[in-house]
Amino acid sequence: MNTFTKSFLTLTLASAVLVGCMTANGPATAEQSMGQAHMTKTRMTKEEAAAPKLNDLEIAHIAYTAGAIDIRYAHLALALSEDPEVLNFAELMIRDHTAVNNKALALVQKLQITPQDNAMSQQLSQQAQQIREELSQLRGKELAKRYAANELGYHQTVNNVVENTFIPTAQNHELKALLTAALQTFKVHEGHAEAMNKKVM
Amino acid sequence: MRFIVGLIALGIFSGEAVAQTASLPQRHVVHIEAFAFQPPQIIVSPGDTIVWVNQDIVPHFISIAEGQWQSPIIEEGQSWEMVVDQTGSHAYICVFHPKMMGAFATN
Ligand SMILES: [Cu+2]
Repeated sequence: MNTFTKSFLTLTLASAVLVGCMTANGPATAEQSMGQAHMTKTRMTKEEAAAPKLNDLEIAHIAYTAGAIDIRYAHLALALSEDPEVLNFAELMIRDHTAVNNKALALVQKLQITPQDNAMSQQLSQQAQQIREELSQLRGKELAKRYAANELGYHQTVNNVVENTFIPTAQNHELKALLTAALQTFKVHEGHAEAMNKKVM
Repeated sequence: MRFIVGLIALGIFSGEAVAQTASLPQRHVVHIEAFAFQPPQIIVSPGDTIVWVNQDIVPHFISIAEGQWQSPIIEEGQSWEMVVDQTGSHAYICVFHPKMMGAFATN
């Protein structure tokens, strides 16, 4: 299996995991929240409308976990790769995701809430562990290509969920604002990842 | 500076004094917001100060004229200022996010 096929499968799998988690959390409670749920419901299919709504504590947990996962990928890349594009990107990921996650921690402290572990966070972590194991077996060009492909797929998948699920679903306006600023950052990363993929070919 | 401007506004200074103070160095603020420099281009006079204010949630790092001048890492909410001591026009980027581009030129 070539790298492209692998990365495409990974991306597909990642999307399936994210979407799967969205629908595997229990019964829908559309009545729980009037405004935001109603607005987003009109754009959903019947099947999606039956999906449970993530609460703010779960969204905060998933978003933090997603950032922490990317930081771990970056540390692995810094340790194993010598490709300047990869090293540069990995440093950017550590710097930016640390900044965003620190903002999230500060907000959590301010609101005196505890983010809630959930099926989606757990699946993200499990999948990330598999990818780290895979990356750790690779060196040189193969590692650079695989890291680059994974970063692009990961940012595309996470950005899609943050934009289309987390931001419309989040109830607390400060959480919503932080997710919006984070999405802006992650979209810049997605652009960088695209450029990195072209350079490590 | 603000005090003098205030006095000018109040008409306390004579015309001659106003002519002198009109060439006082100015401060130009460039906002770093949503991964862009705002305004992206400015015209300054030698001796003016440019202040870059980071309003994003991640750090930025300015490199002017391919590294001829460099800021320290500018964290969220922090700013960095530089006195313009050369004439000409100078492009700059953020080293961390090189798609961020700006420029200043002296009049
Ligand atoms: Cu930057």
